[in-house]
Amino acid sequence: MSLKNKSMSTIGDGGDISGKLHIIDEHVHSASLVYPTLADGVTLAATTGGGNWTLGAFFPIVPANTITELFDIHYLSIEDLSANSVYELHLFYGATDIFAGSVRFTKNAVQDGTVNVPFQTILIPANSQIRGKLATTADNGETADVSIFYHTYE
Amino acid sequence: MASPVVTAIPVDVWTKIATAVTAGAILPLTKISSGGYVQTIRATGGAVPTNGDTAEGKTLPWEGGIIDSSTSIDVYIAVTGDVAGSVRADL
Repeated sequence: MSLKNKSMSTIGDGGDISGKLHIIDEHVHSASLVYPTLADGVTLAATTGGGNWTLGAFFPIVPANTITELFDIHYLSIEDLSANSVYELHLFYGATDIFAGSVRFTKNAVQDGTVNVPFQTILIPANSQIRGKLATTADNGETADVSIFYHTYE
Repeated sequence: MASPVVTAIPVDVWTKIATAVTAGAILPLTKISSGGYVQTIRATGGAVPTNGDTAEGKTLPWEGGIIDSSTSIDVYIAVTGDVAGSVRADL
């Protein structure tokens, strides 16, 4: 079946396939936005003595009712890492902290770890909060300053 | 996607060929020399269209139709003319 065959008629309101195409188009072409914007990134901390790779406490990254449209996260900006370690960041969205995705980044003797890392989430409901938890292999309370790159969907 | 289903379409009888769908394709198989195929939809579970009344029918061209709906629908096909037809549903 070719969707390019313009002589085929449409049965229904055209809201399924064309709706998905609209979202795909916006995924690729809507403007990239950052949060926090024009402010320092958010600092998250790993555990101290909680054990290697133990996720620390929740840290708020995006407050509720801040991003007022449907959105997804495309990148994370890692802006400062406190110590050499391998870091793993988990993001959660909504009032019930639904798992949104996870990513890793590294600081060692030859790289400071500040980087933009690709990330991908499902489409997150408008006005959702975003919170994060951090874990490291070193388990010495390391911190990471992060911001998110996101796109919105009308 | 399930295997295609071929359904005979009588003249002036709305025949349901898809239930609770949002996507798919309907392809006419039998050419109708005098008349043609028409399609209509209902919200899933809605009342069956009235046989013999094809006023709400929209032409289903020989090239077929793409089912594309934001909500779940039932799809009906009828033949207008003097010979029965058949369609294939790819759902």
